[in-house]
Amino acid sequence: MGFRTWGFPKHRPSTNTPPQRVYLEGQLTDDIQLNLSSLKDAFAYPDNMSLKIRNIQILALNLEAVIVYVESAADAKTVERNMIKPLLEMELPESHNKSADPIQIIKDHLLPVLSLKQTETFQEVNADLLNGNTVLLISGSSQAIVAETQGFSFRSVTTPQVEQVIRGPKEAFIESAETNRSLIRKYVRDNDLQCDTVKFGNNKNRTCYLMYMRNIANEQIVDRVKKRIEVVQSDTVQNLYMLEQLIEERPYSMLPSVILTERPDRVAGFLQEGHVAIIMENSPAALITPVTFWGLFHAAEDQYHRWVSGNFMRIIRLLAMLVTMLVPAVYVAVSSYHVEMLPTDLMLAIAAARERVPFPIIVEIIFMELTFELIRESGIRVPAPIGSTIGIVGALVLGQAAVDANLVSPILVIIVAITGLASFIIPDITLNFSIRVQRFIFIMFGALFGFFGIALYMSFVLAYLVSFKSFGVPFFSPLAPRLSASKDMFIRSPLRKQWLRPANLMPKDQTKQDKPEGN
Amino acid sequence: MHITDGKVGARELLGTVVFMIAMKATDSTPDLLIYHAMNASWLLSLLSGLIILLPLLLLVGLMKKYNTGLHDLLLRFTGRWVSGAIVALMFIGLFISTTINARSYVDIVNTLFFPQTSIPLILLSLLLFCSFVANRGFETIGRVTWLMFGVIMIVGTLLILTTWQHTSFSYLFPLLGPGLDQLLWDSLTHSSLYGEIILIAFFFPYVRSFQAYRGGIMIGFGLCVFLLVLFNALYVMVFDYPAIEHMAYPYQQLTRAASFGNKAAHLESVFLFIWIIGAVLHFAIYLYLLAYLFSRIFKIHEFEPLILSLAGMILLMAGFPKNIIQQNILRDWLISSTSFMFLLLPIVLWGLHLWKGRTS
Repeated sequence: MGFRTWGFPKHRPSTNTPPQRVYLEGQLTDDIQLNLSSLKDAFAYPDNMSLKIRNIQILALNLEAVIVYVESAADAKTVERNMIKPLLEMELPESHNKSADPIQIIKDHLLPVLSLKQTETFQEVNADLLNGNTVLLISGSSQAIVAETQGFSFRSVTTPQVEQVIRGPKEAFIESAETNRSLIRKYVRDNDLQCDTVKFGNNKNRTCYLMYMRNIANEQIVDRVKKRIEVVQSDTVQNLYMLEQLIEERPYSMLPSVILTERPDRVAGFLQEGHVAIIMENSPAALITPVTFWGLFHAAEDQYHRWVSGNFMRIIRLLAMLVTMLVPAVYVAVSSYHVEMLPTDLMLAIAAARERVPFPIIVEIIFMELTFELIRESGIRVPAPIGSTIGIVGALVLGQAAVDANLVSPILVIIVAITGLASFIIPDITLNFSIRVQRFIFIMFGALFGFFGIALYMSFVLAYLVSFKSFGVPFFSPLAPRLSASKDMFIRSPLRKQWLRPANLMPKDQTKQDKPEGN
Repeated sequence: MHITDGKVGARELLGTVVFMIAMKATDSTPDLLIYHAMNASWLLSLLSGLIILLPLLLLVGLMKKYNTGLHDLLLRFTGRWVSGAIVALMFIGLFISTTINARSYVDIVNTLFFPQTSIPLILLSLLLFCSFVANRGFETIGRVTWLMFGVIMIVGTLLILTTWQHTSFSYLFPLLGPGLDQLLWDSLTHSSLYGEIILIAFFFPYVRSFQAYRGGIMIGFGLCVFLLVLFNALYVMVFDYPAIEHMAYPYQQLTRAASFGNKAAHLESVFLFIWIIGAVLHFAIYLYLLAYLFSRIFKIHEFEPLILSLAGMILLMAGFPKNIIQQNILRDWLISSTSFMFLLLPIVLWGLHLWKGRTS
């Protein structure tokens, strides 16, 4: 009777062996039927309707062949028109040497329209089938021809839904990696734009694409990003939103170490500074690594506006950030500990308004802040046709009625409204969330110790911010640690003066353009 | 150059020096200076600065020659046991001074802002957050101090502007206060006011290059002297001697006097906010330095886990003084006794350097 038998029994995963998966492995053979039956086994043909098999006779070569594709992954019409038809009907000119390699003849003469490649392994055949390509098996050959016939459906390029701008391009990424890559190429027309394929997952069957500027991005950073992707073991990574969390170094941190953007122009801007972009299927976004605070703080539009308006927006945004984080906490601190700060008239007005409210300020403010968060969350989840009720419930019931019912004081409604409004200005959604969560911690410290508590926590937050790293790049660089860079942090200098790339990414080429003369 | 090598540059070092030394203008140090030098406390801080400049230059010269930090210099010139004893002496002095200072900061917060909160609770939260910050390493401390450097400069300027209406230059006279001989002697015995500028030489291994080190501490030292002189003069100019002698915390009183017109007449809580951030950084640097010294005495490699336990020790020890009078007496004694150590150490090291140079 051991010590360990006490307490609750531990739940262990059941020891029943899971059903064996049929993995397609090894080389293709020159027996066409053997190859085909392996494929059939792997796809559970004919119980499973996904695999389509067409036996044909290649007229020109008088050979048996089989065309295999996965239904609705490959475009059936393309297969029909560009593959089956020429193979069945086309003849070779009399003068042609028919004794040459049949694969070469098919590639060069019979299927000139499609983009083709040859493969020898079952793994590649399998991956190609799943990606919507069509496989042509020829009798007597241990090689297969793979034709690109992808027929997945996706929507067309539309305007950004989250990162909207007034001035600037209005295209956004969609769920197709190919289209996304082409969008980036459209903005960066440069032969140094490198696009690497990185495979990950248990069987290396997931693919993402790494894009960076060969002449700018630092190799150490590119390697680090690549390695972090390659060690991802999961086979169930659907898109970038999940990959993002799997490659993060600190999954519990409040701060994001990557940016997801849906704008190709922003990606182009990041690439030009030496960042690395990751593209993946099914993700209407690009993942930017490594990031600094400035990447999260800046909006897409900042650089498109003139110096004055661009900087005005940034100052407003900085204020909004501070307001979101601190104003409720400062209200609690001032009204509980530092009453003398307020002008006497205002102090009396607040006291009079609070006269009828039976709760302490902390209860009041947490109630109201939570209510606001409820409205915001329900606004996202609510189906569009009944969306308008949210406004009515939020504004009338919770604002006006809560005051009338003496649940909260009117000044508090103003505080919460300003805070809520300000929180929408923070452009990056991850940063937005973390600041909103921080707000509650600040409220707690404000309620416990007034300004003393807020300052204590603030110094910890600052220390955390400057020590946080994203793929080895300090989060607050190039401000702290101070490194050479053009002025583009809280405020930016005019475009013509931004001739330096920030040194925190250790770019191979430090200058964007020649140093401007004069000024 | 790799950007995350764990080392700091000149700017971060400058910030560290400023938060270590210039913060003294805002705690109970001006009290001590006024007690000795009357209305010439500003002159005392200037003279002390000038006096410690010579040892500082000697030390920097030595560091340039050997391109190494204070601990290695001690090891090289005095051997393992003597250097251990010197470091231990420094540790004890610094530990007591940190304890008294922490208590004094907490007293300020308690007396002026949170009279109903218990002192141990304030002390606990302050030290807890200081050790959090210190735990993240010297690189982090340096970066935060540099980040906050601009902010405290702006806030300091704001304080001067908002209290300028109350100043009167004539309060500074008689310039020499208690008389020249007394003033000079007090400057000598109070030169450990800037003793940290010698201690910071222990952090040389964390600085990117000798040039960065020299730039950081020289500019930082100049700035600290300037700020101490400026604020000590400001206190006298606003409150006048002898009224100020009976004033416990001149900086906080000054923030109470600050006003923007008659609607924003009480800004002291805003200044408190920035001051607390400064205080956290101030003690974080001290805690880190203490842990470093401790680890050097006992040859411990991983010293950052020590920070929290040192903070706990300080928390316990800081409960001993009963009131500000006891603290000030202790502090005064400590300042005058450590002054000679800070003044003599670099000179002795230089002498040993010359002597060894001759014998070898």
